[in-house]
Amino acid sequence: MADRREAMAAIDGQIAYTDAQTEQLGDLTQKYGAYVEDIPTQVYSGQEPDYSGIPEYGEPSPVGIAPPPPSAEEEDNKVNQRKLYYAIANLANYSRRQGRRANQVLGSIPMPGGIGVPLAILGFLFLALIPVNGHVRLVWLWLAVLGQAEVDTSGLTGATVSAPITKFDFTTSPTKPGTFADVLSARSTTKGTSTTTTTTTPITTTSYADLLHAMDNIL
Amino acid sequence: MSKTVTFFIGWFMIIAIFYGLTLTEGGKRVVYYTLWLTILLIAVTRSNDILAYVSAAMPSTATTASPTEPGKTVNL
Repeated sequence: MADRREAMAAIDGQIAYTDAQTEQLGDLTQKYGAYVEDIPTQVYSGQEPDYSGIPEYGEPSPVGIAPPPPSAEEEDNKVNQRKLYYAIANLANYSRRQGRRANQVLGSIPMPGGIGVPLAILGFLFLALIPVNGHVRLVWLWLAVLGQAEVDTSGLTGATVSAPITKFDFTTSPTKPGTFADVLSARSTTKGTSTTTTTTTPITTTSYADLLHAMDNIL
Repeated sequence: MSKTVTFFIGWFMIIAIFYGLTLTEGGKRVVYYTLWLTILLIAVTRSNDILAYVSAAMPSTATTASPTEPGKTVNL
């Protein structure tokens, strides 16, 4: 049966071995890339610590009597604990190695244009192309700046129209074509306060088709 | 927890995860191609909006009856 000093030295050695193994793995990975298969079997070569101050089993020590020698069951437990410790350490090393390898493989895939290109396209899509509640977000922002729309604070239901506005929608076909003068009139009446009355019939939908109709009437 | 707080925490977590991924070379590729995949999905699912946006800037060949002059057609 190993004495206490040897047991503690063995534990220290194993911890140092695992630490050194991890460091060595890092160095090798840097040198040879992520494809490091062989783990060095023994890399601990540090200076042997001084264990002479540790009392033997049963000897008096500054803090009392050293514990009695461990029983066979305790030794088995220690061995099992050590095995578990090694298994966890090896699994951690293995995972780290596979992670590095995956990072290297993925990192070698080309990334044309960089990450800014898809971000800019998505930003354009969401801000200027995809309508929400009838308007794209930039139009909602513009309407909010003009004071013709406000954010509904009662819940996360989006923006609501607080005053009559000229609807600007690419997606709908015109339901009531008007003249160019009507368009201008509708715009001037909706520009200021919402209580302005008008003698002309304001159109409710201003689309490109409406404008073309109006221009056709003028020309 | 209120709906608003949950909303902002949810978005914050998504942004944090994506930002964290971009800190490694491999993760950067994951984010990059996820963004392109999102663009592709939006292009497919919202093709109506995109086509309407693009076609609004182009001269139309479709015609319709003039609302003011009977018997005449105008370009839409």
